[in-house]
Amino acid sequence: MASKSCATCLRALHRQSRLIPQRASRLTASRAFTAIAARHLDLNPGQNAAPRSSIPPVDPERAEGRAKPPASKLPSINAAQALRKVTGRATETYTAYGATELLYKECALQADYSIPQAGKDDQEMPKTEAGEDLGIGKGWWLTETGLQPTFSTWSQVTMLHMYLIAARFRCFPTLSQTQTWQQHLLDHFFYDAENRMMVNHNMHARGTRNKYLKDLFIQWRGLLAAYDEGIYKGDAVLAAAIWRNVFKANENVDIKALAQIVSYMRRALKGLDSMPDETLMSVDLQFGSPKDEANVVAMKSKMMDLPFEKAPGKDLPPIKKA
Amino acid sequence: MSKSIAYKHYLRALSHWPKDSLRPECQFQDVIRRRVDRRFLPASSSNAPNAAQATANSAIDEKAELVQVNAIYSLLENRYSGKYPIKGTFLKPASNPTHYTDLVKELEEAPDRSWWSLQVNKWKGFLRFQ
Repeated sequence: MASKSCATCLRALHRQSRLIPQRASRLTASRAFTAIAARHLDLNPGQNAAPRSSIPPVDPERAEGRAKPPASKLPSINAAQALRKVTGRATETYTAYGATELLYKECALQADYSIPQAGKDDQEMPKTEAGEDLGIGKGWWLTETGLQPTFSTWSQVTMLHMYLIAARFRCFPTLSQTQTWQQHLLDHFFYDAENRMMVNHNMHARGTRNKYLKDLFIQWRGLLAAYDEGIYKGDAVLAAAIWRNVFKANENVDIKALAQIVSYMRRALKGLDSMPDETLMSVDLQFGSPKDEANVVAMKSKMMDLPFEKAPGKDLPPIKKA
Repeated sequence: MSKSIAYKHYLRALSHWPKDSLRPECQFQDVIRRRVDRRFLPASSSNAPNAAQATANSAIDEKAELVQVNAIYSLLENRYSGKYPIKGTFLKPASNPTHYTDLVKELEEAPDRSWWSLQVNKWKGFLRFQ
């Protein structure tokens, strides 16, 4: 993808490089050459190569998601915001691209896993019962829920977090702004998903990857509608949506974990709702973990104490044996 | 019917679970009912020789099952939307105030659409005139 920077964009970039304080001399040098460097395509990009574009690359250390966000904002975002005052909304899409990359990285590290056997021809990858490649990973999602570190778990958990952010994007003032930000977030996800398919799962055939990416897109559209319905209609509907998507309608789901995820989503939405647009756009946020919701879920419900005679349930129709 | 308290709680809780008309073949209450029947009902088929172990196993199951059923109750009583309420402006987002109401209306109408109206809608979505 060669750089398609028009003259206006190049002028904007040069102006941007003058606005940055001196410490970014390394970045200034790379930015001055970005348009030219992009024309020489790197045919063997590294594992986490930044997407080819005329936007300055994200600092790789920060992008790995290991470090906590720095107290001061990144120079690229500072510069972008300063630039916005000068050029108005013309640069919205460039700011959005950089910010959504950081937001996406925050989503992607929640259920992150690795496959040590990937890329080594002599080692066989372990598989789950369903035949999926099994990796190793840490964190609440992969250890306490009964979910296994596979690509589908990672993609569903990432999409859940992306959904929370996309729902918050809807609260932007104009529809075009919402659509820009949502689209960039989604693009980052699909780019990374394809990268992981190639790197972790040895899918070198583009046709196979495209098939899975199409499925992933259908899953994304499905869960947008399902989670929206859940947010609007109540906790039970949201729990059913999470059960269908994340747990794949598994009969042996841990309902306590399900309730913890519902509680976590509600808390995250409340936090995102009370966050002003500026904080979101400068990516000044970090997700928590559903493990903090264990106490809320463990509280005894009043319905447990209702005697059965006073409040009998409707008897369910007999289950048809498949 | 099993005399287990947890089983009775399950039946009551699942009967209150909202029915999903859009996904009739994949209902939470049906699947969990199947699992609960499998666990509680065939008490006679479990190996009787070790009666003490059987009671010990069922005691552990009972506590764990009560935890699960408590979670179902908590979801039914909307504990989490009550604890973490979102402002009304989130449900009427600035970029598209009727987003959620439109979506819910669409989801309610979708299962009952005739073949013809499905085709009309498909083409309406494909050719959108500003």
